[in-house]
Amino acid sequence: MADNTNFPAISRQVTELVLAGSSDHAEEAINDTAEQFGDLAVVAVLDTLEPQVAAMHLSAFDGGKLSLATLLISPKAWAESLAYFAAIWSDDMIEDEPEVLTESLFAHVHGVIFSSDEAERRAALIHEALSTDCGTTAFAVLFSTAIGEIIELANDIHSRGAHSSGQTTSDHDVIPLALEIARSDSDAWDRVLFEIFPDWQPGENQLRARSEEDDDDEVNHDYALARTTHDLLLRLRRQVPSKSVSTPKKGARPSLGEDIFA
Amino acid sequence: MQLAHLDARLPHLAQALEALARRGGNQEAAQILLEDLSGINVLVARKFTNERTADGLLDAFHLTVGCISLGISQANLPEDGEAQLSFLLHHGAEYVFQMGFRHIKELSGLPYTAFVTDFDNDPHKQQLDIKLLFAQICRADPATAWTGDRIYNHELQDRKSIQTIIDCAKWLRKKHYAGPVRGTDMDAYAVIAIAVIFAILGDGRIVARTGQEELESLIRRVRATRPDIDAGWNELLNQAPPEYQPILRERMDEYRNTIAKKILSKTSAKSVLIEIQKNFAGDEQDIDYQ
Repeated sequence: MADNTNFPAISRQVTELVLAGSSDHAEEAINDTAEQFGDLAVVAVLDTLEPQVAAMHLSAFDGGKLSLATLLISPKAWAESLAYFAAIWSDDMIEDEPEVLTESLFAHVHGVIFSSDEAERRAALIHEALSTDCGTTAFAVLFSTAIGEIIELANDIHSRGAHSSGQTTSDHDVIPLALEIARSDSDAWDRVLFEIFPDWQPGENQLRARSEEDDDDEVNHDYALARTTHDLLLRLRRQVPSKSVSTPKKGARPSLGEDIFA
Repeated sequence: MQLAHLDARLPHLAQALEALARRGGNQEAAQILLEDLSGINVLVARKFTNERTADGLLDAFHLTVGCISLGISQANLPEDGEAQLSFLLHHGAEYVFQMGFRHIKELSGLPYTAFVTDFDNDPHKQQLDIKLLFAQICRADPATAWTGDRIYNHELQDRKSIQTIIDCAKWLRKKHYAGPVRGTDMDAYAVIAIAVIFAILGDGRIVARTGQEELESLIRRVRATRPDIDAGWNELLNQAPPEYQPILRERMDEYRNTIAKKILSKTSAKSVLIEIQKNFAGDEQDIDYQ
């Protein structure tokens, strides 16, 4: 792996371009770097980007447009950036257009993982992403859109093992992704399942989708109910790391705040 | 005639900051000040302009500079950047801003005109007044001269004298011969005018509100008895509390050779009446006529 401090100027340039909203130019700078110094240099640059900047850049390129960044970003840097993917979601967006958000998240995750043909890289991406809470919740959001199929698949995997499963009654987009996780990292698969079904006790109760008529008060120990996509989106949004806005200043008196108008 | 001021000064905050730049070891103080000022700027933008646009923030920046400068200007400091800086650092930018804003609030609490209405007590209007004065006085570009503090002092003088006039009118209303005059709406100038005009009679009554009949009978009686105007006025002055006497006296001097003379003259009663109604009694004359 290249030394992380090799390309501070390029990192800074890319950061500035991304923050200025010019993802295309940032991508161009990354392409130039690749041509001039090789792919490892790009990896190094992407590693030194702040995770929120990387997230901003990557989110500009999804399924439709591929970028060198999505191909080359190191699994660790991607996992960190994933935490910031939901940063721009507002409560209104989650309320009004959850499908749009889920769709963009899916396009992003799918784009990054399946942009590579190397099984090794895919496994590493999945492993890193699912070893963070945000990543786990992000995948849970995706799977919650096809909860029936996921339950079917989970039961299948449980009884027959990940490698001989895969036939579900539908061919929903998220199934290949789920299968990829189950096959490459069974711990990660379990973590996602627990994120979707917080009450799940393997062997004790059955997974079940939350239906419209279900009463929240009614506790049924025979089933572990799934979180809804909406809940998971909110969970993901809340997990976005934020810096405390008011870091206490040394030697300064406490701020008056709005009282300056009093 | 007064010539334009040549001693144009930068806003006090800008002077203080220049003094800070001249001080050695100013890093820490400058850092704290910078953070405080930025914070105030955002708060001002949020409350008065718009913190989401560059224009809004710039506008708020000018208001911040002006309001802090007003706070410094009213602290009776020597005209010197060093003293102003010490004051600013001692109290902190936020507290100095608060002082400036309190001056604005105090000013807006004083009446703008001598015409009192119920509307003056409307909290919404009061907020609007504060905002208006704040924008009018506390708008300072740190790079150019600022006269907000002079405007403030001038405005404060004006409004204080208007306040005394209103208090005087209120006192007259309370002493109205037929019992206190009620009602929140009041034209203070007209109340005083009526009291001074009726005092010509010298009968010791204080009249704060009138009607056409009373005015007609006043003109008739004055023309019949030809009383000593100054004696009547002195009687009114003697009754009035000392703080209102200058206001009344000023009005008497004004009327001695104008309306008072006209009432005594042979001008037709009708035209005198019209003049009093139009120029003196105004809204303080009842419109009913029997």
